[in-house]
Parts: sequence; structure tokens; C-alpha cells
Amino acid sequence: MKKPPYTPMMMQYLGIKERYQDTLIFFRLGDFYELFFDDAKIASKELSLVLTGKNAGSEERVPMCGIPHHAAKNYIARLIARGYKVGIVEQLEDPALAKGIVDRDVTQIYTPGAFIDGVNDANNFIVAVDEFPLFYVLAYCDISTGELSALKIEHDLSTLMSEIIKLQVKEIVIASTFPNGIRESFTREQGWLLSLGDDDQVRLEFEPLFTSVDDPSVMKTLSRLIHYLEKTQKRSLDYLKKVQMMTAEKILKIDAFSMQNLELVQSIRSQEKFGTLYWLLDETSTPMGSRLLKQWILKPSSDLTIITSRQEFIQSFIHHYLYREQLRVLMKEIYDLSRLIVRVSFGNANARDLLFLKSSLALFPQIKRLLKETLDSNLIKLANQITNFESLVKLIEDALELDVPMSIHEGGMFKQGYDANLDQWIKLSSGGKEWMLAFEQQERARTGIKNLKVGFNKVFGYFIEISNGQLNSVDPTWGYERRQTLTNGERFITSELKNFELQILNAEEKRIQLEFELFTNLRKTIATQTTIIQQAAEVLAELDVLLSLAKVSSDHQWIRPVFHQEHAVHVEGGRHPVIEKVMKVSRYVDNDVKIPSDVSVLLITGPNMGGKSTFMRQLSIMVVMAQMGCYVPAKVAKLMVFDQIFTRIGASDDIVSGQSTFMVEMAETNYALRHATKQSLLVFDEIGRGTSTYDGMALAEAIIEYIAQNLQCKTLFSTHYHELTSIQKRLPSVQNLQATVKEEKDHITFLYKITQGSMNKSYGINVAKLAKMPPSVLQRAETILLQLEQQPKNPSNPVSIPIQPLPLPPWIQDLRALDPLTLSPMEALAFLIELKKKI
Amino acid sequence: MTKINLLDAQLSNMIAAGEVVERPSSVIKELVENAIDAKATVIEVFIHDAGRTLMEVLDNGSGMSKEDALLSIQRHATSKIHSAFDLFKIKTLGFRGEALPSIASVSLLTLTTSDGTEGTTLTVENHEVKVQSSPLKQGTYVSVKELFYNTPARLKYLKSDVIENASTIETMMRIALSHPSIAFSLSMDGKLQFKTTGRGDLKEVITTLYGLSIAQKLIPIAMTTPDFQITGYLGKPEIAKSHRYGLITLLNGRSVYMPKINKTIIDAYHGYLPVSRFPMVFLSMTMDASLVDVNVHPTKKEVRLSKEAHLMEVLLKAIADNLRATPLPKEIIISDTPAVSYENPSPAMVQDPLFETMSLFDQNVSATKTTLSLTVLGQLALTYILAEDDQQGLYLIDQHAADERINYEKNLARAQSQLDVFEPIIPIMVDFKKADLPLWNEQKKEQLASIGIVLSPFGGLSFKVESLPIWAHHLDGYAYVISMLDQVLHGEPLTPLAFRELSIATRSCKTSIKANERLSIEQMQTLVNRLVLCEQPYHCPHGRPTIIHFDQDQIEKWFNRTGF
Repeated sequence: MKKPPYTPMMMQYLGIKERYQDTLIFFRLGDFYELFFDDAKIASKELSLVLTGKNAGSEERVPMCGIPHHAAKNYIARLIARGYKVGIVEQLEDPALAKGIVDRDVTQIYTPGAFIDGVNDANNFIVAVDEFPLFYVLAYCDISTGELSALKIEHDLSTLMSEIIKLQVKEIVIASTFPNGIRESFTREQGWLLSLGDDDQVRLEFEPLFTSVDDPSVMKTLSRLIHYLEKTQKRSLDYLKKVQMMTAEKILKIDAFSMQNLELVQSIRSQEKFGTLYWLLDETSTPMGSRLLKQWILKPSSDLTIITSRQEFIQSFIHHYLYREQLRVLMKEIYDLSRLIVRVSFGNANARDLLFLKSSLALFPQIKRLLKETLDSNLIKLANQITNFESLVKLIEDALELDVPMSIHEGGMFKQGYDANLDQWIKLSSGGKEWMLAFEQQERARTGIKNLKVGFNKVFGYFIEISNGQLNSVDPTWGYERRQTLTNGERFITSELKNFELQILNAEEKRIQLEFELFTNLRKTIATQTTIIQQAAEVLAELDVLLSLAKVSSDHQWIRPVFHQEHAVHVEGGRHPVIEKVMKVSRYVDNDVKIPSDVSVLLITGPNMGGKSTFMRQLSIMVVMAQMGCYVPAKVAKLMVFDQIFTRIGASDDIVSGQSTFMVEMAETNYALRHATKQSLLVFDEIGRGTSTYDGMALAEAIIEYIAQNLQCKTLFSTHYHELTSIQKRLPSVQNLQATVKEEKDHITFLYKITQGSMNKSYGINVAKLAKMPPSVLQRAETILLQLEQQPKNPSNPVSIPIQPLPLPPWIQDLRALDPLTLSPMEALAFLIELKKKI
Repeated sequence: MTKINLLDAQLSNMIAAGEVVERPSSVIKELVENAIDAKATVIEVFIHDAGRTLMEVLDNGSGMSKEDALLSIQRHATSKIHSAFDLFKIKTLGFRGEALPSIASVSLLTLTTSDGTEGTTLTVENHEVKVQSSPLKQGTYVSVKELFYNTPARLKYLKSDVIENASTIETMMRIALSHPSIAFSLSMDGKLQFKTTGRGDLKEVITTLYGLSIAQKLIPIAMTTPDFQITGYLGKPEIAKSHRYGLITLLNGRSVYMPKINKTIIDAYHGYLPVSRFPMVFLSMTMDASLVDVNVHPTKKEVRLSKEAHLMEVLLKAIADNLRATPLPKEIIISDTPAVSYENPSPAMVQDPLFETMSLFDQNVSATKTTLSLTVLGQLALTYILAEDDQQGLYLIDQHAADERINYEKNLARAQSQLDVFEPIIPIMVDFKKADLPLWNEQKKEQLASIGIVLSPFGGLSFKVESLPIWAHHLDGYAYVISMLDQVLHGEPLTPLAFRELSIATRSCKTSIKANERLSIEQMQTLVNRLVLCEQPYHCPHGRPTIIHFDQDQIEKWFNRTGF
């Protein structure tokens, strides 16, 4: 028989590693986790650990590095942050009792998308994707909060990418049959980590989660995700919340480009929160609130009842500022309930977590009381949604000390009186003096020997000492065993005393063991409340967001926008709240935005730096805020409910995927034109500038015509092609606006006021001057400009060649409105017959 | 050649500046009042280096045309009055037309303004004016750089940054309180000091400026007479201060100093507050502009009123009525201090070694120290104890002052031995007033620590009380900390020893029997017996008399009994 190349332990390691090729294996050996071979090389580099070798029976030492087990959490978090998966291999039996090699196996896998000890307060989603012939399904989950959602989208790669980008995921679960081309886009363009999960069987126990899901394909993807999570976490995830079907909700859809362009939650430049709408609005007091606010920003509503209800709450909280501020003070004391209860249910909560849970829940009655004291019917309704957890609070309060250790394996967690056995152990382990004194008394009484003493020494332990004078009266029926003879007496033990001694020696160990048991039981008891605590946490999160929005709205003197039925926008004195806040001394010039029902496109011309982009962002941000239910920065705001926002502002070269600015621009524009409806808002900043003047201008004009004639949605379109302003003459639904400047001698002043009319100069040279370009360049540029302006206009000016698209037949609208995915075969046939009649 | 010259414009402006522009806070006051007069609803103020290098005021008011802007920096140019007749019914805050030119004469001034149709920027430097166009942001922006750069004496006269900043904050707070409908914000060196919402709610402004804990202890007051209209809030006695800065009186929307009115308010609180404590009061009084003469002082801080006596009368009654109508919980006067519950001492108190007032029940205390041996006769006006001393005449004893003295000596003896502290079991939070925050420093912190009060920042204006002297465990800790904090921040500077004594006096006062409290003969007798045992039985720790003696002979003289 051939001798195995390594030691048995190393063979065991290799056997496990074989099953987890893409995972760094932390192999438990005594007090250390050790990594071997390539894992060791990677970890030593990423974590700056010393790479050594281990004698493993082979000729060469196996590369190895090690981490003390108590410090592992920190190292794991660092590896996860760098996009690795980490598998923990534990000893499954007590090494002292094991025969031969200790049994070991993987007990948990940490992956970037499924890392329960979240490093920050933000949501950390993991997503599963499936491709079906006509659509994609996305299922995603934050395992640290239990949120579970699903989404069915059309079969379009850019839509898919957009949705995933918005979730800010790090890891995607796919089947091994998933198409290679899309995998490529995921990893190469976006750097997402792909994990394989082939089990998509819908298990019976998932059904309670799936009550809002009726599509088998969605269930399949969801199951794939849950199976993957259970496989990595190595336990069932009882705390997962019911699936939220995102397609069912009426939301203002914001694609990934717009999310980035408008800097809703991440700034373009630094990818940070600072300078974003999220940054401005986030006065929340709890991590739950902060997460929910982010979701509200990325998914504003298009359901007027939801918007109005939020507005009502904000109005109430502005009015009841005194209660609002008291509530905010209270809310700051509330810990991250969603995550705490997940830790409880998951089984990794420690005593401190339970105390945090308790102190948070204990505040609920006060929060309810404050809400009710406002006498505001809305707020009273909200108060009634908050459950009281008196008995749970009492349960934890009666059980745990106020000051508990981080570890649940050290004891010292429970209060006296919680458990009689535990009290006994504590008493014993702390010396048992009382018992000893009582025993002495008892023995004196029993034997009648007045000077009987109970003592202790290191060699013999506890003993009974009887002086020489009394030795004669020792009765053999007492059960005394002689142990030691002294000059003036003798020492004895009894079985009772020996038992007690043993008890003392074991007491500490017993106490720790019992406390651990009591604690896990307590944790299990609390875990039965998971669902209602999760519901309470949701109400609290919503309250937190509403308080935050009310505070910010009030602090900045924002107003409550009015939603009207007209297909029109009317804003007076509108401002861009983020820019206004970022400017230290705010010199922000407010502007009106008026788009009457018969106007579709506002065509904005004017100089660079004249405020065009800001004007367009201002309206976009305002629409997002308004449909979140928040107040808006304006004097008057009458808005329509939009269904989608598409923005194309600013240049963002997609260098990673190697696309040019112009290509990206065209792709984004295409995306917008294909998905927009009449209820959408389009914002196009200088579309067509990335190519030569004529084809850029031609494209821009064609796009404007297409929007004005076909889409008829509200559109802001800025351009430097002054020639485009003549479209207004042909198409009355296009209106010209200009960013005004004042020109005095060689000096220009940007007035930052957008007014009706058009401007035929872009003042590019003035801007160059502001940028401190060398004077010789500026002079030369002015000369050239003068010459160009004197030349006769090119006769082939594209403006004079209007491109008239064919009028669309009416049945196109029906076809557009049709969602083939929802049709039964019979309905599809009926539709086809109807269609044929119309042609 | 004539000897008398007309002063040139620059010089006369500089002289006027002497009156109007004393320090950064007066510049801010003038500029902000201009903004208010321009109907602004949002006014933002930015201060750098306590106003030495740069002050900026930005408003969203009506703004000015180019012509008006140029005129505004001329002396006695004002849009606010047109004739002498207008002078008698001034409703705007500014009117003398001095502010801008005066400020411009002692600083480098930039004014950017727009009325919505044109935008203008004026730069004034050494009485030269440069004019430029500017963006169409409606409203006015004024920046004042290098204040007093050309008047070194003035510059030297400026106090430390901390003091100048505190003055600016105080000024801005008063203005913000006067105009709840305007959103004010004040930033210093890039840090936001406060920001009001401009919702027109005075109480919300108070909440922003003074913190939640003050706002929750206010009693609304509102009344109208044919001449006056009074609205505002009365602070409950528990939030009283040891200084008068908490007395905010507004007259026709202007924060003014009216000594007599202030006195009236303090009088109205008589009986609700301990000695040398001043209420927090926010009162807005409105009356016909013709009853007020504002043109008394260039800074318009003082005014003359035609019907002042009547106003005082109305005010006194209004405040007293409101205080009386408000149920003030017992602990507001002074916690559940054991000193008042002679009749039913709780067992807990008896067991408490710290609670030594129990010895008051010790009827065996005998007057050994002084020769006085007083026998109590009765109680006068529920405040004074009547006693006699073996044919030596009549003694009037102030029951509060007496108990205060007793407690003081007892506490002093204990405090001299050691300073034990404890951490409050129920956390106590105190909120600083915005203006106070810059005054808080290491030295102040140590001063408080010397009497056992340790505060640690708890975010924003809030501070957490980390420790209290152990003897304070049965006091209203909040009120005690607030009063000591006030002393440290605003009171006269004291030596460490004097400060400690004051802390003891304050706390002695707090634990003592109050005036207007019915006592039994036994209680009074015990009190008197304890008093005569004191080192200095004749004065309370604050220096007021405790005992007044009417000599037997004197009494006999009054009744013409002498000579018999």
C-alpha cells in the first residue's frame, strides 16, 4: 500500500479543502486557526501575517500561517472586505475524548454577501439571478436583517445590470448553467464575486415566506438564494422575513445611471455619502432608520396615497416639534433592533446583545406615550402600531446583570435569584464559607465535641480536626476517616465533606456550563418573538425616517409639495438643496421650473457654468424628494406623479469596460428612450456633444423630435447647439429657456437665472479665462472665434433639414402597453385577433 | 482762513462709528436689523475669528437696485423714514441711516445685492467704491473684513475671542427670539451655532436656543389690555438662573433693556424663587409705536415708555396670576427635601447616615454656646418665628434664613473633611445655552469638579452629570448643577474656597425650610435651639439677618411704660 503523502491531519484538511475550492479555509488547531498552501500565501499577504511552514509528513514543509482563535473575527472581516470567502473548520468533538484524529468540518462560511457581523450600518445585499427565456429574476437578501425581496424584469441586459448596480451588491449567486457572456459582464465590468448555487428546489418550509409570490420562476430563484445561504451559514435561517415582490410596488423607477448622476446616495467623485441627497436627509437616530431612508431615496413612491400619508406625518412632526425632538432623543437610545434580533435568532447574540435588545424595547412605552400626547390622530395611530414588550423586557431584566462579559463562556451573566441551581453554584464557587461554618456547627452538635474544627490545607483539602483530649469519643458510626495525625490531635474527613470539596472544585466549571445553558435557553425563548420584534423594528425605522425628514424639512424651511392631476410641473423659487447646503455661504440663485401641460421639452441654452446642469438636477432631486413624501426646497411646488426618472448629466467614461464617453452616452440615452412613458421625466445634458458638431446636432434634434412627438414626457434638454432652438417654431411643445449672463465690456457675470428665450453664445473663452488659461491662447482663440462668426452660415445646416418621423399607427400604443409575461395563451390569441382587425 | 471745517464724510462716519460700531456684535446687530427691515425670511450670519477677520450676513430680503445700493453707503441715507413726523412712529428696527456707512468707514466692506432684476456688488475700501454686476440672487449679502483695521485703538479694545463670540451669540439669540418668523442661522469659524426654523413659533425658537429641558418647563402667558398686548413664556422656578441673562423682553419686536420692567418681572416671581435667583422669562410686549421713544441711544438698546407705570402694574398682575394658576409640582420649589418633612420622617431617612437633620428632633439640645435661651411664642405670616428670651424682649427669626444657617454650618464642617462623590443612578442631563458653550473650558470644568460636579459632553448642547457631591443625593440634582454651572459661567470670579462656600450656601439654601410654610411650635423650638448653637447665628450664609431683636426696654418705651 502506498504511504499517503501527508500526515493524517493534513489529509483531513485536504479532504475538506477539496470541497471548498474558492474559499479560504480557517482550520482550527487548538487555540489557533491555521491556513495552508495557497490559502496561507493569500492570507499572509492580505493580512500582513508571517508565512511559515508546517511539517506535514512530506519532504517540504507546507506553507502555513495562523491566527489566534479569539482574534479571528477581525481578520475574517478584513478578508471579506477584500472579496474573499472564508470557511471556518472547527473541531467537532472534544480532543480529550477523541480517539485518533479529532473530527473536524466546516461550521460556517463567510462570504462578502453573507456576512452577518456587518462592519457598518448599511444594508449588505446578496443577490441570486436566473435567466429565463423572456425575463430575468432577481432575488436578494440582507442576512443581517432578514430582508428578502424579489424582482422580475424584462430580458434586457442593461436593465439587469442597472438593477444589480442599484443594490450595491458584492456577491451574486448563479446556477452553473448561467450564460457565460453575462458572467463575463458581472465579473469583468463590475467586479462582482460569483458563487455557484445549483439547488433551486422549493422546499415546504419556504412557503410561509412566499405568500406574496405566485410565479414559480421567482420561487425558484428565491430558493436558490436561500439554499445557498443555508449552505454557507450551516443552519436554517428562521428569521428571514416574508418576500417583498418589488415589481408589485408602485415606485418611481430610477435607473442606475440616474442614481449615480443625481448623486442620490453616493457622490460621483469619491463614492462617499457626503454631498448626496442621502447625506442631506439623514438625521435618523438609528441604523434601521438610516437603512430605510436609503431605500426610500432609491425607491420613491408613485402611489399618491403613500406619498400623502408620509407628508401628513411630516407635517404633524413639524408642528409637534417639541415631541419630535423628545422622540429623537429617545430614538438615539435604540440599538439596531433588526440586526440584534437576527443575531438572537441566528444564535450568535451574546449577553450584551440581549441587554441592548432589552434597553431598546424598554423605551417603547415612552415612545408610545409621547406620540399619544401630541393628540394628533395620525400619530396616535402610529403609536398603536408599536407593540409593548413588557414581559420580554422583564424576562431579560430579571435574568441578566447590568454589566456582562462579551463572551458567553465565562459566566457572570445572570442575576442572583434567576435560577436556584445557579445560585447554589455561585455560592459554592465563591468559597462556600457559610456552608463550612454551618457544617462545623452541625458536626459539633452531632458529636458533642465542642472544640471540633473544620479546616483546609492544600495537601488534604477540607478536614475535621479533633484534639487529642476528645479523640476517645469519636464514634465509628459517625463515618469519620482518619487522614493525618498531629502532635495535638487528628484530622478526619467524611464523605459529606469530600462531596462538598468536590462540589467547590467543580462549582466554577458547573456555573459556567449552567450559565451557558441558561443563556442559550433564554436566547431561544427570545428567538420565538423574532417576527413581532422584526415588525416592531420596521415601525420604529419608519418613525425614525419620518422624524428625520420632518426635522430636515423644518430646519431648511422646505414646503409641502402639491400633487395635481394635470400633466404639468409648476415650481417657483426652487433650489437644489444639496448644493445649497454644501456651499458654505449659500449664494444659490433660486429658479422657477414651469412645464405647462402642452409643453413637453424645455430646451436650455446658455454659457458653460451658467447653471444649466444645476437647474436640471434641481428639478430631478425635487421630484425624488417629493415622491419620497418629503418636503421640497421651493416657494411653490405643484407636481405631477412621475413613474420614472432618466438622467444623462455629466460625463462618465466607463473606463473599466473600455467604452468611450460617447458610447456610454448613447447607451444611456437609448435606455431612457426605450423605457420612458408619458409619465416619465427625462433629463438630458448636452446629448451629442461627444462627437462632431453636425452628427451630434443631428442626433440631438432627432431625439428632441422623438420625445416631443412620440413620448410626450416632460424633458429638460440642455445644449450648446444654438441652432436647435429653432425647433420651437416647428414644434410648439418645445420651449426655449436660457441661462442668463450679463456682459459688460470684456467682463461677463453669470446671473444663474433661467428665463424664457434662447442664447446664441456659449462664452467658452470667458470660462477658459476664469480657468486661468495662458493669455496668448485666449487671444488667439478670440481671433479665431471672430473669423468663424463672420463666415456665412453653412448651407447644409441640419436645422433646415427637418427629420419628420412617420406618424405611428394607433395600435402601436396597445402593443406598447402589453406585458406578454402576464398573458395566458388564450389572452394572447385574443389580443392577436384584435390586433389583426385594426391593421 | 476759517478755523472751523466741515468734517469730510469719512471722518464724520468714523465718529458715528464710534457710537454705533463698538464691537463685532454691534456690527452684526446693525446688519441683521437691516436684513429684517428688508423683509427677509432667511438670515444667515457667518463669523470668523470672533469677527476680527470676516463677518458675513446673507439675507433673502427685497434687495436693492444699483442706485439704492450706492445710496445706502452714504450717511443718513435710509429708506425707513422720510420726515420728522415718521420719527414718532418708528416701526422698523433701523432708521438713523448710520449703520452701513459707519461700518464701511472702519472696515473693508463688500455689499452684494439684487432686487431680482439686477444684481450689484459694491466694494468699499478707503472710501473708494467699486461697482460690479452680480448674480440675481434676490436679497443682500454683506461682508465686513478687517474690522477696525484703520482704528487701532478700537481694535485693541476688543476682548478675547471667547467674550466677543459670546456677545455675538447673545445678540443673535435676542434677535432670533424677537423674530420667530424669520429663520436665522449663526456659524462661527465654520461651525453652526444655531439655526431657527422661522415657523413663527416662539417656543420652537426657545427650544432651539436653550434646549429641550428648558422648553419643557415654560408656562405660556398671553393677555391684552387697551394699551398693551403681552405674550410669551414664563420659566418655571426650577429653571431659574443666578444671573439676569434669562430675562428676555421684547418691545414691538425689538429686544430692549428696560430696567424697571425687569425689576417688575423679578418682583412678580417673589415667593417662588430663592434669594438671588432670577427667572427665565420670554416676554413680547406690543404697544402703539407712539408710546415708545426709541431714539434715545444710537444702538437703540434703551427706550422710553410713556405708560411705563401702567405697564408695570399690568405685567406684575399678569405674571403673578399665571404663576399662581399653574400647579407647580412640589419638587420644583425644592425636591422632596427631608428638611421640610419633620412630622413624618420616612424610615429610610432615619437610617441614612447622611441625613443628619434628624437631630432636629433631638429635644435635648440645649443652648450652651450663646447665652441666648429662646422660647418660641408663635409664627408670624408663616415665615417668621416669634420668640422671647427670659424677659430680654422679643425676637423675630426668619425661619428660612435660620435653617439655612444651620444647614450651612453643618455642611461646611462636613465638606471640609472630604469630598465624596457619587454617580447619579438616574442619569441627569443638563442642556447648555448656545451662548454658554464657548465659555465652557478646562478651568471652568475644574472649578465645578472642585465641588464634586463632573460634566461630560453628551452631544450637541447636552452634558451628562457624571458625578455629584454625595451630600447632594437627596437634592434636585438638576437644579443644583444648573445653578452651580451658572455661577461658574456668569457669576463673579471667586476664589476656589469662596466658590466652595458658595456651593455649600446654595445647597444649604435648597435644603432649608422655606418661607410660607406652617411649622409646629415643636418644630420651631427645635429650629431655634439649633440656631443658637451656630457659630454665627445672626446671619444667613448670604449675609441676610436671621434674628431681629426688640429690646424689652425699647418695647416698654413704645408703650410709654418707662419711668413707671
